[in-house]
Amino acid sequence: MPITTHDGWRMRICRPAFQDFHAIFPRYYARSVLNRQLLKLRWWSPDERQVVDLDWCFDDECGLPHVFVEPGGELATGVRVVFFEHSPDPQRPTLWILGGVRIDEEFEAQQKLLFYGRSVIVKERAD
Amino acid sequence: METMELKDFPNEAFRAILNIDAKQRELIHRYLECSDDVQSVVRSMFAVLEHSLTTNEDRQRAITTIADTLFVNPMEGHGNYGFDFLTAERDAARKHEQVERRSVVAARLDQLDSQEATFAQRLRKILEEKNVTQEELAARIDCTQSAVSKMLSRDARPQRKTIFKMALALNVQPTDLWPNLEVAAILDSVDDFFADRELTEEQAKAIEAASSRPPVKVKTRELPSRKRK
Amino acid sequence: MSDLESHPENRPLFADAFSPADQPFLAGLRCGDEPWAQAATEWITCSDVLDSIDKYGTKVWVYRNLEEDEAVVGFSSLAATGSQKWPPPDGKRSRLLYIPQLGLDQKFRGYPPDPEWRYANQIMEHLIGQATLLAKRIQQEKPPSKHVELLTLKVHRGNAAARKVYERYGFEVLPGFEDNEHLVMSHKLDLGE
Repeated sequence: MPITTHDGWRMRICRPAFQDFHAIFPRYYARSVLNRQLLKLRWWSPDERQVVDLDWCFDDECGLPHVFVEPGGELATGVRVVFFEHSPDPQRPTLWILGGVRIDEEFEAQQKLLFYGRSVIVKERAD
Repeated sequence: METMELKDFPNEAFRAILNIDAKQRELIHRYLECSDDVQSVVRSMFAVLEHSLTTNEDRQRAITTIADTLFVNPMEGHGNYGFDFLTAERDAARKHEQVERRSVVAARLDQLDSQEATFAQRLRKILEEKNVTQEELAARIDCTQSAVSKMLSRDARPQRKTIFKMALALNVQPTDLWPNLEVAAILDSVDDFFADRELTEEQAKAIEAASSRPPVKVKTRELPSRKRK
Repeated sequence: MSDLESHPENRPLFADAFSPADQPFLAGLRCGDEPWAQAATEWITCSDVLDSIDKYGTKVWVYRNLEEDEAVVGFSSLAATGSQKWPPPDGKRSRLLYIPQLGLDQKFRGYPPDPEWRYANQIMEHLIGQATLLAKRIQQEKPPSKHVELLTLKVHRGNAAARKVYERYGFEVLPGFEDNEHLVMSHKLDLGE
């Protein structure tokens, strides 16, 4: 697999995020494809409007960016994946995947609270 | 010594604590050991659980967040919290908890690699044949040359909509770029039918009509099982 | 000369419950080149069948035509869907039995020539029999909201041959459930009521 470790962000994921994706995509194949899309976050830049070919935006209410993985082919539904930057070691800039919701699900105050809560746990616990 | 009035004694709270079982006691103990910020998160997750309008999906998210917060379960080789995403991907086959699935998972990952390799090869060939540069293609599909380069070098898997945009931009069929587009869609459609469903009026009527028809009399048969050695 | 001696291919298939140990013997299975046939091959030979068993409790059978040969000639599957909830004010719930996938190695299409022994027919008849048994067992063991009386499947819009087979076995199109690629068909099970 052509993954490089020396360029871009270090990527971490919390356990509830894994569980979100399991719930959205019961098929292993679909989750593998989602993971391949999320690997593009290694090249995320807040100054560019896309991450390779993924659209993303910043939610001011919860203070967290989201990336959108479109439906089609291997993915029966699109996903909004919430992530954020937290680098306990400034020498290793790190992005954390906090979880996701289906693209047709609401993303209002309650959902934002959930992911904001997860970001607090990451900041507290991550090393 | 500060005196307390009877009304200040948290009788109900004490009764509640005395009546809980060992598991619940452990949960509370873990909660109390958390910092104020983390306790605040746990409380807000419980509020989500108790809200009458919370969806099942959000309920599940709140539960997994509470469990993750109170029951720290570091994974070997991944640090004190969470997982390294790249390592988890690399080890998906090698370290799958179900040993009998490792070869199947490995085959799946090989398939993904093979799809990306085929796509990159085909795209490169079409770009050459049509004398289109990466920059030109990027401009036509509204992304950056760097993005196109990453897909060509198999560092990034294109989304389905990108494949369609490229096909349109290069005046080829999407299956010229990615042969098995339809197979994946079929498998997802098949899997999708399992889900819980809120029926539309049309669907409800169709099921009622099908259910009220007389049963179908068709031949059925039992088949023998092979004798195992 | 007996019928079996003159036509040795006219015999019952062997049906066994699928296990992951069967997957190496599925490596040579090719259901065909059409997208739906490729999907069937992929489903049984890769991780989808295991996901379906784990997640939905799907029952899967593999069929062999020779007792001494491990090679699989076809497969079928059966599961119950999630809850189907009627729109308000009714709000009642039920479930459907569902055939996620079934497939036959393309070299056995139309084989044997005798329809009584044709592998595709044997697989359908076995599967409908299993669906009937499952539905009866559910009736005895589960509350009414879990009962099933309809057996459903998805058929690709381009797969006219499969649709004909299903229609022969009493399946009819179930309107309202179609998507871009598929129609849904249903068969009312004979539960002897």
